[in-house]
Amino acid sequence: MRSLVILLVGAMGCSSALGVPPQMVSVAKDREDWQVVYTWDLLEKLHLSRQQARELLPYFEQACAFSIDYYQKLEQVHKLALQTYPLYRDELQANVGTTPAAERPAVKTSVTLKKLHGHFDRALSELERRVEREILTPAQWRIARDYQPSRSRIMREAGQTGHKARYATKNAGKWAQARTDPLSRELESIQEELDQVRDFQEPDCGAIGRFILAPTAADLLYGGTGRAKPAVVREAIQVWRFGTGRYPVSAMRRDAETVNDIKNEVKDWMLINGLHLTPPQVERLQEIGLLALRCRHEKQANHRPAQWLDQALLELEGHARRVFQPGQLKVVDEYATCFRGKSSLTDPVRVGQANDESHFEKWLEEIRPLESEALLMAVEDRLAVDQKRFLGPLTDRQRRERMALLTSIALRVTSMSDVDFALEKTELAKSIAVKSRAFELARQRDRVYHQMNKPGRTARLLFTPGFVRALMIRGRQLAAIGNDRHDWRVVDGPKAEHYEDGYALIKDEVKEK
Amino acid sequence: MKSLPDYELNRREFMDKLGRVGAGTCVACSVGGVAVSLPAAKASPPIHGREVDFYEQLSGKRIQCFVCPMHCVLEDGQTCFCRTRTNYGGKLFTDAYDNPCVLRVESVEKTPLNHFRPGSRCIMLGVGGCNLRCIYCQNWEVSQQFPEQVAKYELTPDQAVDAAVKRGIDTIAFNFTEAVVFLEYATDIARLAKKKGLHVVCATAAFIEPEPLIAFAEHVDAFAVTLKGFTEEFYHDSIGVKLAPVLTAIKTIKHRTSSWLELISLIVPGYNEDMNEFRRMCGWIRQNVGAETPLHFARFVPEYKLKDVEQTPVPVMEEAKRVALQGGMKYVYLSNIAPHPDTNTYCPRCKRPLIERHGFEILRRWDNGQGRCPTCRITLPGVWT
Repeated sequence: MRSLVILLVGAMGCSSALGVPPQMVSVAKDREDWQVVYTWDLLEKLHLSRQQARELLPYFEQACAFSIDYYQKLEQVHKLALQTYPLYRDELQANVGTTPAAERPAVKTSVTLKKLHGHFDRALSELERRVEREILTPAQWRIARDYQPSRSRIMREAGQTGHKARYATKNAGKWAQARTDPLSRELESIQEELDQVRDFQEPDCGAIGRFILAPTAADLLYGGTGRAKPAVVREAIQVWRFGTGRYPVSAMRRDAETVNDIKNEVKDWMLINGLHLTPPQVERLQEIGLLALRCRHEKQANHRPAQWLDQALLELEGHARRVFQPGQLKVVDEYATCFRGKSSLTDPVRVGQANDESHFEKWLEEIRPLESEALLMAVEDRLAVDQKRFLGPLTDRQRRERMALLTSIALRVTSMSDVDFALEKTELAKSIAVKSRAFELARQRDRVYHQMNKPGRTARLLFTPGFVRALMIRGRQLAAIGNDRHDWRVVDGPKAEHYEDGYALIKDEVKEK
Repeated sequence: MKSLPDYELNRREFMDKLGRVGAGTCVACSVGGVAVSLPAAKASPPIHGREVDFYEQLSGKRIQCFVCPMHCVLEDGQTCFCRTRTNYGGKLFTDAYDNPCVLRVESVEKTPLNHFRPGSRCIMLGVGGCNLRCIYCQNWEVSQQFPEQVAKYELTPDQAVDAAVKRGIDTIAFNFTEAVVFLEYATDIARLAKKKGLHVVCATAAFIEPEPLIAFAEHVDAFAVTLKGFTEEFYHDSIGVKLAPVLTAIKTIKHRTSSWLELISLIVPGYNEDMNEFRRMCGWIRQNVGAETPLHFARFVPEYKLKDVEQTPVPVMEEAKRVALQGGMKYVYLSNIAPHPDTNTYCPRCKRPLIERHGFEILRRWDNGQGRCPTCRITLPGVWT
């Protein structure tokens, strides 16, 4: 049985089926678009037969329909995002709390955008699973699962030399050498687990979905099988390359970039607002941030080695951390980038506030009235939610242990009196509370980075052009806010109900009588 | 009358109801106001309630309450402005007894008290109802209701104290809602708690008459008093009561009781953020209760009727702190903003941080647990052990 790529090679008149054709690699390099190259590369590795390729086509057409639908919806969501995000960003920048009118639509749009990506990913993943199950052999399935798109490998295989200058630096050599040391191995294992957790929590489609079921694979698949492309495929290619008449790809890319930029600004403001920086702190952090950016520029301009930059950033990171108070450091260390700020950032627990139960306290409150069967289901749901939100994949033993803990606490709270529950729920909630495994791993990775003399998370959060720009704005705001504050005192808001409204009258003469 | 869903009366209905009561009542109304009137007058006192200590019987079955400066005059079956004390056949009973609506274990900093046994855990409780009408109340869902509407737990004073002892918690705090409205319940708990060697603390707006206050304070170790503003205008428009009785109560706590006192002022943008007002407030505090009284400026977060008002900008809070320090106050804190350096306790002499906090959590202590600066060796005022 001849492989699809060999058939294609014959059709295209290429000289060899070993590796991606050099012409294709050159075009990809010029256009900075490697999608077709990866598709070719994967197809070659899979050795798909013509029969398999034919069987693949209906799935491919479905995937094309999904991508058209995705693109059309993306246009609507981008427009919404461009309307709602700036208002929300501006309110965060003003740092006087966000109004529901600005926050709700922006957060809703952000969730819609996330859902849209997720929906498309899930649809492709489903198709991918079916392709793997119904078309691929087990050996091909393993190849697809392990496939890693790599420009340098493809360029090397294609005999291109451009990559050498770029990748064969002394740093790369040292890095390759360094991988054998224990810290690098530890880093790799942390990264591997982190990938597993992320993949469990937000699964992406695999190589088949990304490269074989993408519209860019159409020429290869239909060319190899000798079939004509149906309308849906032609439309999908059109949409993929040029977009629609109403929403060209250039506009989509521009919008996506703008949306992403605003999103990053929101994330920066979320952290800055949550830190409640004083003017001297803002000034100092700004100085350090500018120095860090200068170091990055210096590295690029004067071809400094990566270690030099790492060392400089590590040192600056230390300086930045010393600017913070212990409470602020806690916020920095626990900050998870977010579009909608956690209450700990936007509205911390207040003096005398009665309704500030934690997530797990609320859950315990909810399950208290449940009967045994419903209780068990609630516990199972809890475990599923915990895995999805915090823990990631668990071994059977870990699952059993977690289940036992949740069940014992659930049974305990159902048998408690209301008063006992009220007084013990905080402690009980703490006993079942879990931290995000991904976050813990990221902190472990940071620790290893520091041991390797590399900057950590604080540097990544603080030493970005966006964050430094935001600090500059905050500095100006802080300087101005004290001066014009007295002009703000003009309020004609609601009034309190009081004794003159007919509730009660103070009549001291009655007391005298 | 917007916040009494089940017992709403508008002004006209109120007057109409009064008109139908009869000549005797009319005379009564001309000399004393009637507070919240229930649609169906309450016939018998609540099973768990008890008689109020501070009231006077007037002619007929009318009575006048003297717990708070509202001095409500009540016909039989009527309830005070605070929604918690009812005239049952000529006797005033509390409906806020054994029936807390909030019950939690929290650290004492939530009261907020920063100079009273920092970090100690408290059983905190509150009962529905309030004798104030703050337009920005953060617990309005429970404070602007009758106690029986929001009661969630049954807890006698004995049980409250036993619960604390059983759990090794040595402080009971009255928080979340105004303690003045459940003063009888709070007093009974506090009395029992003191007998068992527990500490008692209370968060209050101090709109209370001196006599009941002194009687209550006998059993209370510390008060966190909210001085919500410093003009009668603000108190009238935003709180619904008068400022003068609050100032009297604060002086009473300081000079006629042995309780520890801390003051809190919530800064609401556009309402009470005038720095001159803070200057006058600090001057009054310094003269009347001493510059060493800790003062907390709390950040406003949109709530209740002020949902549309912005959060207090942090620089405004910082400016208020500066004004307070310039005004001679020695211990000024910022609350409801975490993290912030001004939530820490500093030595007033060497400015070294002695207790570092993140919200209500204590991160580090340098005072040897005794409020003592290790450098200057001065001991800060407060109750440390």
